[in-house]
Amino acid sequence: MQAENQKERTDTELIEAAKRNPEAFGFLMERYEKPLFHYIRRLSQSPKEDVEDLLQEVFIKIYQKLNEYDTALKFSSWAYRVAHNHVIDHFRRSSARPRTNVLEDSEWEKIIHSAMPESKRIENKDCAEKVRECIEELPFNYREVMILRFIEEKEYAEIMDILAKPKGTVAILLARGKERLKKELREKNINCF
Amino acid sequence: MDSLINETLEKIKEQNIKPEPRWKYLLRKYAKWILFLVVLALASSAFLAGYANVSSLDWSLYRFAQQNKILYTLSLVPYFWLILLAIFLGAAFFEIRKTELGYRYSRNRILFLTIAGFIFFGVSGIFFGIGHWFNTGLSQNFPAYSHSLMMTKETQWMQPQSGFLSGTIKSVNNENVSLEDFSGHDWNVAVDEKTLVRPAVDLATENQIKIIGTQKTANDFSATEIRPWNGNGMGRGMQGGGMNRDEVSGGGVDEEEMPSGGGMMRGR
Repeated sequence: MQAENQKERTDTELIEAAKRNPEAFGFLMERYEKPLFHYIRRLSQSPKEDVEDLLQEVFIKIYQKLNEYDTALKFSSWAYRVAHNHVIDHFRRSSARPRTNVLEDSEWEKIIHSAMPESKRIENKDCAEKVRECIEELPFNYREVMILRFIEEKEYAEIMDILAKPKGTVAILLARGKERLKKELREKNINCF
Repeated sequence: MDSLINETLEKIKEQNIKPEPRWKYLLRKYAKWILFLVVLALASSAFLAGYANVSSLDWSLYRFAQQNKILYTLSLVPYFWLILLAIFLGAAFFEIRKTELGYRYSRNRILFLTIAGFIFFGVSGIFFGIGHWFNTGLSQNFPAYSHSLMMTKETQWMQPQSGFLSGTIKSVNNENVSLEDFSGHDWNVAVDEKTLVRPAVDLATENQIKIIGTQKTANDFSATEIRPWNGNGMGRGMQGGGMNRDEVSGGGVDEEEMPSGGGMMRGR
């Protein structure tokens, strides 16, 4: 009964409650566990176990920073920002770069479709693999913004809040990312569409 | 996945992890704004120091130095302060972007905040004489400032080989002024009936003067014109260096417009 009540509370109410009692933070974690897990997976391109470790670290960081949350932002945007910064820090600390592409077919097809709206579903497996490689080769700053826009389906304002970058910069990164992807596909003579 | 939530909660309790106090966050937040304001104050100070420098210079000496007016003017531009001004204004832009929601501000909003802050600190700086303080402080305490970085009033009037000399009068007789320049070097300055002595000049011991003329030897200089150290010497009652150049030039008499009889020839 109490759990049901907690689930109906807004993020801000849960944050206030979590400051006094860590149990309330459990409900916030429950609310954002899946979205943040997938975001970290897409961003870090790490295996499931590593993503779970990162997610736990992110949740602890969010808990430690609860007093830092500014209601001018959506809580989800702020939580994504903490996750984003943590993943970047993690790779910086471990000197490791994001590894194998763990994007699911439907996910990378969304990115392809953003760059080439006329594209259809790629049936040829070899061709699909080549396209996937092109996405992997995109610089990280282009890929992260494309993941947020086309896979996470975030609005520009939310992407600005997550990456803490001005709107113009976000728009430029998206446009250049798409252009770069098209160029890669053209240069490698990949025409699967 | 629920186990992850439970594990996280356990960890929080076991390690007694607590949310960081809000004052720490507020300290970081306001520190960024304070840094922005400090950078803006520095930008205003750079502007005022540059202006103080520019306003202390004599811009019409190109005629005596036999130089092209444009090249001479360019040689007097306070590049050092202009570069610092550009650096501080650029830093202010990036500092405001680094504030909590700075990335949301439009360029126009940032421009407005920067200009408003710049004007505020500029007006405050004028009130406290910051520009003059920086300019004279650096001139007196850092020789490199006036020797390498900037053309200051002192360096402008300490070029005997180009015909410009300045210093403090040690003694005066009928045809000679004994002068100690600002680097401590003694000069015998020849003054004859053709020398134009500006009306406000008081050729008395301890007074500071500027001289236009020709260097004869390492210690001898022939004067064709003598001005008081402060101002152009066209006004009256400036003896003793009690007025600064700004006050004098505010009188509206331009040196270039001055009739040749504006002073008095010595001996007449």
